[in-house]
Amino acid sequence: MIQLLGSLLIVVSSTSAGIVIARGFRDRPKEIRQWRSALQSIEAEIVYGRIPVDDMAGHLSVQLPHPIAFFFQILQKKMVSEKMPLREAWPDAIKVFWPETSMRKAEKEVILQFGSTLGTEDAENQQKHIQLALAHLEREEEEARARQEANEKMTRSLGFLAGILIVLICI
Amino acid sequence: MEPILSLLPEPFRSVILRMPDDARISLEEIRLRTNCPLELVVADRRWYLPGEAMPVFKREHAAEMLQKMSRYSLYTMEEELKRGYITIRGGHRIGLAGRVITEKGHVLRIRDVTFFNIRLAKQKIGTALPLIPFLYKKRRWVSTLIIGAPQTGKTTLLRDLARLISSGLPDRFIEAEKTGIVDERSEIAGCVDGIPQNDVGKRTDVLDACPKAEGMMMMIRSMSPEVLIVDEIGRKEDMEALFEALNAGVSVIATAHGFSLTQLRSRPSLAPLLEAHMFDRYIILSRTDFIKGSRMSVLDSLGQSIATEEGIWQ
Repeated sequence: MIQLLGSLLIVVSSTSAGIVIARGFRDRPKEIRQWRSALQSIEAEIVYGRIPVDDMAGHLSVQLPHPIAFFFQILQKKMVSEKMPLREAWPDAIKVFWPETSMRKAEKEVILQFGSTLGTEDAENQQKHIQLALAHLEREEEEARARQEANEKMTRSLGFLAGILIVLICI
Repeated sequence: MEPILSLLPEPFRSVILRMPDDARISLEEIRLRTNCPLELVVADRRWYLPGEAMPVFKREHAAEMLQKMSRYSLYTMEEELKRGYITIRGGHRIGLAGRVITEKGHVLRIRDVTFFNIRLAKQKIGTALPLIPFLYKKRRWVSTLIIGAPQTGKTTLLRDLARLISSGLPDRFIEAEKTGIVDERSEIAGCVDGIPQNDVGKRTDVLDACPKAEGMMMMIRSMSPEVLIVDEIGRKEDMEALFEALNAGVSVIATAHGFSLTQLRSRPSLAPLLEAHMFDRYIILSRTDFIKGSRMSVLDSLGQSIATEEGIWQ
C-alpha cells in the first residue's frame, strides 16, 4: 500500500516538474510578445503624447496583462514615491520583477539596454531606440518559439515518463 | 520655493536652505554655469554666503538638473529646448543656454545645456491699482499700451491688470470681465500644462505658448473676451491682429519694448498703429533706481500726459 502511494507521489511530482519546465518554454515567447507590445505603447506615448516616463509607467501598469504590468507598477512606485532617478529605477525594477518572468538573459540585456536610453533623447531618437529594441526582441521571440515547439511537449511527457522510470527502477 | 529646491542638485540646495530669511525673500535669480561657482542675485546684487565659497556647478550637475526638469523624459522638453526656457510649477522660469544645433539656419534645439538661470516668479499683487481710474472709463476698460525698457515691470503690471480686470473691484463698482491672455512666452500666467501658476483672476482664459498674432484671432473667435491681454507686441503680424481685435470691439491691453512714445512712433512696424490712435491710453514706465522702483506716466490717445506716479513694484 505504502509502496503504491510512494510511487504515485513520485509520478505526480515528476509530472508536475515537467509541466513547470514546459510552462517556461510556453511563457517565454508570450512574455516577449507582451514586452513588444509594451514598447509599441511606449512609442505611441512618446511620439504622440510626449508623456513623461513616470506617467507612462502608470498608464502601462493598468493597460498591460499580468507579469509585465507588475514591472511598470514597481517602476512608477520607485520614481514617484521614492523619487529615484530613472537611470537607477529601471534596473532596480527589473531586478525585483525578474523572478516573475520566464524570460532569459538575452531579453534582460535588451530591456536593460533600452532602459538606459529611455528619457535621454528627443522623440525621434527615442523612436529609433525603440525600433532597435523591438527588432532584438523579435529575434528572441522567434528563437523562443522554435524552442517552445521543440521542447514544450517533450518536457511535459518526459516528466511523466521519468516518474514512471524511477518507480520501475525502485520496484 | 519647493519646486525649485526639488530640481537643484545637493550642494546648491543646501546653500539656498542656509540663506538667511531676509535674503531668501528677495532672492531674484539663481544662476548656474558649468565649472563656475553658484551665483545668487538678491535685490539686484550678487549675494555671497558669509565666509564660505559657493559650490562649483559641474557637468554632472547640469545633466542631473536637466533630467529632473524633464522628469527624466527629455523628449517632453523639445519645444522648451528650442525656445530656450521652461516654466515650472509656481510660475518660475528657467532660462537655458549652451551648445545649439541648427538646421537650415533655424535653431533646432539646445543640445548641451550648460547654463541655467532660474528666475524666481514674484507676483506683485496690487501694483496696477493706482492705474484703475485712468484705464476704466464709462464702464469699460480702454485699450492701453504699456511702454517700457526691459526690467521696468511691464509684465508684472500687465499680470496685475489681468487679475484686476477679471476679478473686478466690487468696492469701486467695477464688474469682473471676461479676459483672454495670449501668453506667447508663458510669462504672464506662467502656465504649466495649461494651468496658470500665477493669479490672473477668475474670469481669465489663457492661450499658453501661442504665437501672438494667431493667438489673438483664435481667442476672439473662440472665447469671446471683453479684454484681450498680450505681451510684447512689435512684429508686423502682431499689428494686423491688433487692428482686427481693436476693430472687433475688444479692449486690448498690450506691452511694447521702448523708452518713450516718440521712440515707438519711429518703429516702422508700430507706427501705423499709433498713428491710427488705436490705443486710448499709454503708460510709460521708466526705472529711476533699483530700490525705489519705477516711475509710470499715463498719456492719453494723443500722447498728452495725464498723470505721473512713482510706484514700487520692481
